Amino acid sequence: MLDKGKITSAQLACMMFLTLLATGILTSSHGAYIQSKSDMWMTPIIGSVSGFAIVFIVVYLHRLYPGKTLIQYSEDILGKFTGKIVSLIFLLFSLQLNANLLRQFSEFLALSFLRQTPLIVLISTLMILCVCAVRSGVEIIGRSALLLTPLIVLIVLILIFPLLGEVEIDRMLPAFENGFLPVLRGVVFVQAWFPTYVYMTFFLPFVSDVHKAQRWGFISVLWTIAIYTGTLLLVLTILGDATKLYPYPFMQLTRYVIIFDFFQHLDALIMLLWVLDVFVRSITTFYAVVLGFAQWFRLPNYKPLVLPIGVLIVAWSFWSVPNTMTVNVTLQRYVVFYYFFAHMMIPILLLVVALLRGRKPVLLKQQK
Amino acid sequence: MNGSILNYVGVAIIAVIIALIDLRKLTHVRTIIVYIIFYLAGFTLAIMIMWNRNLPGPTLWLSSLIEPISNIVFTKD
Repeated sequence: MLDKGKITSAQLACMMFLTLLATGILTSSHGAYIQSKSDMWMTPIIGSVSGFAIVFIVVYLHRLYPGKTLIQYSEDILGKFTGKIVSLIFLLFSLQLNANLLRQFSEFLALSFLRQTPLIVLISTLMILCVCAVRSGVEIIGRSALLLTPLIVLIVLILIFPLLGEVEIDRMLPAFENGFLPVLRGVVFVQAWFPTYVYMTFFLPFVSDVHKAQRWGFISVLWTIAIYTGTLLLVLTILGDATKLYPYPFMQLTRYVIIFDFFQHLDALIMLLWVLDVFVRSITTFYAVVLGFAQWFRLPNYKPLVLPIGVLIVAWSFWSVPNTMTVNVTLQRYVVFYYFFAHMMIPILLLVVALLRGRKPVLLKQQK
Repeated sequence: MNGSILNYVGVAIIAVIIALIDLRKLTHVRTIIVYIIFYLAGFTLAIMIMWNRNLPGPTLWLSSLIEPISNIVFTKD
């Protein structure tokens, strides 16, 4: 085992929940509205099917190959050569995800709050923090997620409750104006975030109460659906048709929040939410990439790789997306598909081949 | 532009110092090789980006590959 730390299923659920939260809240409403208009609030409910499916697949694969991650059992399932190729493709997509996430984080901060700060400073600062956290091990990541989840949920609630008075239910109408197809288009867009639950595979070997992992995984997906649906409903019923004008409609909403006539400009809370959430998301996915590459190269320790891969991700974040325009366009139209391929199709392929090979699942038990 | 290059150089200097400190502690040969490979990949990429800021990257390659499917699924607005 490359890391001797232990986490609980609840910590894992918090990690995965935060991995999806902020980007989903801030960016999903714009794209979902363009595709589904007034029916966009339904999209997370239907789109969550992929979330439940991936939690089931990842836990089932863990039952087939206990104590192993996707990188390790892909060799057992597909053979050494093909397994190495498939796991390398998965790791390259994970590198891409990390780089895009860092870039999106810095673009959002630079666009909305820190206009004079160069992107490289924002990206490097977060990466240095991530390097420290990932080097500290899986326990630190788990505890950070558990500690920050209540705070982040509290921030979301503080931002949502004062806005409830502005809600106009009429904006949800007409329902199914252009049939069910636009809803499905919105579903394809919104479900892009749910397969990120595949990163559970890198943490399951360290979960002490692993027999509860599936239940906690499903609970985490339910939290995500609740937050996504609530946010989309709020954006739709307050901004209505104006949603399509803003790349980050939820942040636009928070600019209207006034509590007791003297608390104003709570959009600073959005920055807090964004930074905390992206931190947890980055360390979760970054840990997965580093651990994955250490396992791919069969190294005895993953920690020496943390810094070089961090440097590579920082460079990759500039290489991957040359300018701000590309960030927005690719996120809206293309990223959905290749994340779905990497995070959903590869685990499905592995599960199907493992089942065809007649592998029997074991019952997961509490680990010491 | 000069300010921007200085930012990259500053980050690179810090990264090289940390890399040298790190390398002194490593004893496992394969780990050292993989460490150097990733570091070189990162720095090569950084230099290439400084050389050409609009270097086409994986997002653009994948996007051009996916565009036909995306055009079928999503509406343009």
